[in-house]
Amino acid sequence: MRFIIQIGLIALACFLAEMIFPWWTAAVSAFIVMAVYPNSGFRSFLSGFLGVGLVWLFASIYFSATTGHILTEKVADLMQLGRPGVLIVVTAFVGAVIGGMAAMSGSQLNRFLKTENRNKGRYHS
Amino acid sequence: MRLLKFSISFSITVILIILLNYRMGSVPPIGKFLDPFNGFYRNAETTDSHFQDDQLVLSGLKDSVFVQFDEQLVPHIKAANNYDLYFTQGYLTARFRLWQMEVQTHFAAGRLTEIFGESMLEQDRLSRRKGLLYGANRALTAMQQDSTTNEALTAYSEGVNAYIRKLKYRDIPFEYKLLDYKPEPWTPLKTALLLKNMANDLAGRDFDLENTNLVNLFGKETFDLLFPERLPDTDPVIPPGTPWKFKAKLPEAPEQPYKETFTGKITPKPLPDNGSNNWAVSGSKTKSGNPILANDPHLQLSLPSIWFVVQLTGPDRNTYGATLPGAPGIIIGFNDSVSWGVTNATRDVKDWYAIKYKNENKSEYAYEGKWLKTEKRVETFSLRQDEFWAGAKTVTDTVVYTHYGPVVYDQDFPAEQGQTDYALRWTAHDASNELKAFLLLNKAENYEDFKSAISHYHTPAQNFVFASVKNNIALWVQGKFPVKWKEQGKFLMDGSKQANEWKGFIPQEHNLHVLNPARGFVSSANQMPADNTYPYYVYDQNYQHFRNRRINQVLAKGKNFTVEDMMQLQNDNYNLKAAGSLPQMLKKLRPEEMDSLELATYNRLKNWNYEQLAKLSAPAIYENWWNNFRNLLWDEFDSLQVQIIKPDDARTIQIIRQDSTNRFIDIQLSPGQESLQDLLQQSFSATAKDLKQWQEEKEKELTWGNFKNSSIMHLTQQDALSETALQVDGGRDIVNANSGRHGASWRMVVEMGPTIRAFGIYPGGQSGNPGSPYYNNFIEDWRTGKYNRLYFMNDGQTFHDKVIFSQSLKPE
Repeated sequence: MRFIIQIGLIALACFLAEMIFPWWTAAVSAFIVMAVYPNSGFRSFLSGFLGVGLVWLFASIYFSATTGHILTEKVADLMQLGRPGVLIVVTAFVGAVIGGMAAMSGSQLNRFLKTENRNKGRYHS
Repeated sequence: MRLLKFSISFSITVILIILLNYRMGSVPPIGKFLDPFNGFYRNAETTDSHFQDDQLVLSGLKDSVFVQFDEQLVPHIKAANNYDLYFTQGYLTARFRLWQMEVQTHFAAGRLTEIFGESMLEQDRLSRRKGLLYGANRALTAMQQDSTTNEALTAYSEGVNAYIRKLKYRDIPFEYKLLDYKPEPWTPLKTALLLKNMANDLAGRDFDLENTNLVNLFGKETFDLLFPERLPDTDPVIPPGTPWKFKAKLPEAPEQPYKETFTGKITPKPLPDNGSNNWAVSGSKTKSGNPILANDPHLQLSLPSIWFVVQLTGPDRNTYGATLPGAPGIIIGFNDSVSWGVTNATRDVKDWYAIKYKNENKSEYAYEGKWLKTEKRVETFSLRQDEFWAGAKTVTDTVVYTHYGPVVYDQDFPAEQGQTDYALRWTAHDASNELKAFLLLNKAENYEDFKSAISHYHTPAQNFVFASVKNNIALWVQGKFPVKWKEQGKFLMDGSKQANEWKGFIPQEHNLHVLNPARGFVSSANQMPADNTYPYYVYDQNYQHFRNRRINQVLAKGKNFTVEDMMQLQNDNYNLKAAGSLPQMLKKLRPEEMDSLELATYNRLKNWNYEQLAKLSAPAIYENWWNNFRNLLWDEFDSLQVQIIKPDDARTIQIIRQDSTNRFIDIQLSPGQESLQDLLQQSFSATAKDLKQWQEEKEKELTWGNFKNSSIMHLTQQDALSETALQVDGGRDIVNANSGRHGASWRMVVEMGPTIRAFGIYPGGQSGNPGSPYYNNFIEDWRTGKYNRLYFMNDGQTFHDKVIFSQSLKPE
C-alpha cells in the first residue's frame, strides 16, 4: 500500500511541478517525496521509476495523440527510432530512470538523517 | 555507510540530470528535449491550437490592431497607423517563423559557429570576408537616416521582440530545442543582414577569376570563341529596337585590362539556378481587357518556406503579397491600384582587384605611385564546443580593407599556399535603402509612383515588372550599375591603377525600361537586358537563354489570355534547349548499328515531344546524354590545375549546330581524331549503360521524376524535417524551373481589373513549425500546378466566409 501511495504522490508532485518548472523538477519531486516518506532501496527506486515514468508516458501519449503524432513521427525519424511509439517508450524510460534515481537518493537521505538523529540521542543519554 | 550510499546515488542523479540537460555534439539535450511537458512534444500543433486568444495585450502598440486569419493561415492585419502595422507584421512573422528569421541572419552575419560549432567556421569566415556584415551596417545607417524606413524597421523589431519576450522554454520554436540554444533580441541590423543575404544570393555570382584563369590559359581569341558575350538568337528583356533617348559617356579602356595571374582555389558561390520569370500582359491581349501580371521567383527551396504571405492595411496602404521573414513590408505583391514582381537582373557588379602591399604589415598598398593606408578589421568567431562544459572557443581573422572593399583573398584564405591578395569592389557594400523602395511600392497608385519607388532600389538589381488597373504595363531593369569600359571587371584587374576603377554609375533615367510596348506584353527571365544598341556595357556570365525565349514565344503568339493561361505558362514544361539540340544530336546517331538497349533508348528520345514531365523517361535520358556529351566535348578543361568554368549550354548547342570543326571536339587523351559524330555516339552509348545501371542500383522505374529526385530541405538539412522524393515536372532552363532542389519559390498571377483577382502558391506553408499542419500544406497543390485564391480584402470584397479566426491586439 505504502508503495502504491508513494507512486501516486511522486506522479502528482511531478505533474504539478512540471506545469510551471523545468523538466528536472520531476527528479526534485521524486526526491522530496521519498525523503519525507521513505522506503527500502529497491522499492524506492521502483516507486520513482514508475511515478515519473508513468506521468511521462501518459503525457507524451496525450500530447502526441492529440496532435495526430505530427511531430513525434518526425522526431522518431530524426533520432532513427523509426516509429512514434518507440520514441514515446524511450521518453518514458528517460523520465523513469531520472525519477528512480532521485527517489532512491531521497530515501537514502531520509535513512541517513535518521541514523544521525539516533546517534545524537545515544550520545546525550 | 548510509552517508556513502546516499552520496553515491545522489551524485549519480545530479550528474545524470546535468548530462541530459545539454546538447552533446549533435545529440540534443535528451532530458530537456524529450520532457513531454516542456520539450519538443509541446511544439506539436493542430489546426485549432493556432487560434487561442481572441484578445491579446501587447506592450509597445500605440493603438488597437485587428487581425483576421483566413483558411490558408494568411494574416490580414488592419492598423490605424503604420507603426502598429509593422509592429504587428513583426510580431506575427516571429510567431510563425522566428527560428528561420534568426538563423538566416546568423548565416549572413557569419555567426553560424555559435550554433553549430567549428564545422561552420569556413562558411562564417567567407561571409565576413565578403563583407556582408560590413555592407549590412552601411545599409542600416542609410535606412535609419530615412524617417519612414526607420519607423518601419523599429516597429518591426519591437514587434518581434514583443513575441520573444513572451516565450517560455515550452513555447520556443522546435529547432531551438533540438539545437539547444535560445533566441536573442531582434535588431534592425538583422533586417539589414537579411537583405544583404539576398544581395549575396542574387548578385554574388561572378566568374571573374575563372575567366582570368581561362584567358591566360587559352588566349583571348579562344576565350572569346568559347565564351561569347552575346549569341545571335538572344531575346533581351527590353524589346529589340526600343530607342534610347540619351547619349552615354563611357570611360576609356586601359592598355592592359587584366592581370596575368592564376587563381588555384576560388571561394564557393551562391547556387547557379537562382533566377525567376515575370511578365505582364496588356489588356489588349487579355480576354477580360484587364492587364495580368505574373511572377515566379526561383530560389533554392527550403523549409521553413522562403516567403510568408500577409495583407497589410494601414492609413495610406492596403497591400497583399509575399514578405521575407525578417523584413517589414511586402516584397512581391499588389494593392488596389498596382501590382509588381521581380526577377534577378543579373549583371557583373562584383569586381576583383589585385593588391600590392608595401610590406608584410599590410598597412599600406600601392596606388598610382603612392601608398594608401589600409584599415584592418579583426573578425571574431565564437565556436560552440561539442562538450557543454567547455566554454566557446574564440577564433579571430584579420581582414584588410582597401578603398575598393575587403581583401577577401590572401595567404590565409581560402587556404591556398601562394595565394596573393585580391580586394573586392561590390555594389552590395554601398550604403543603400532597398527597403524604402518596397515600402513605397506597397502604397503606389500609378506608374509614376512605381517609377519613383524603385529609384531607391540598388542591389541586388532586379527586373521590376508592373501592371496597373489603368492598363499600364512596364518593366524596369533596376539597380545600381557601374559604368564600365568594354570588358572592365570581366577579369582580375590591377588595383594600383586608377584607370581600372569604376568611374561612376549609370544614371537612373538611363536604366533600361519599357512602358506599354507595341507587342502588348513585357517579360523577363534573367536574360541579357538589351540588344547591342544599348550604349552601356552589360556583361554577365549567367544570362538565361531558354526560359525567356519560350515565354516570349508563347506571349507573342497568343491573345485573349486569361488568368488560367498565365498559370499554365508558369507551369510550362516545354524544353526549348532539348528542342534546339536533340534533333541535331539524334541525326548523328546510326540506329542500324545499335544494340537492343541503345535502340530502345533511342526510340524513347525520338518519340519525345520535349515536355519535361516527371512521368516520362525521355527527359532523364536527354539530361544524362547531354551531360555525358558535354563532358566529352569539354574534356580539355578537366585536367587543368586551376579552377575554371566550361562553356555554357547555349554556346554548346551552337557548336553542335554550326561549328562541327571546333578544335575542342577532339578528345584530348585519346590517340585518334574524334568528330562530333564520334562524341555523340560515344556519349549516347555511355548514357544507355548509365541508365541501365541506375535502374539496377535504385530499383526504380526510369522516369524524370525519379531521376531528378526533387526535395525541399529543412534548413538543418535533416531529411526527417524535409519533403523528399517529390515528383515534380519541369527542370533547369525550363519555364517551370524545378531542378531538384531549386524551383518556383512563389507563383503569383494577378488580374488588375476593377476587382483584383489574385492567385498564388508556394512550396511549404505559413507556419515554420515542423509540428504544425500548416508547415507543408501547400506543397501538394504547388507540385501539381494548382493555386490558392488570394483573399485580398477591401471595401468591395470582404471574404468573411474565408476568415477562420479573428484577433484583437490591444496596447497595454
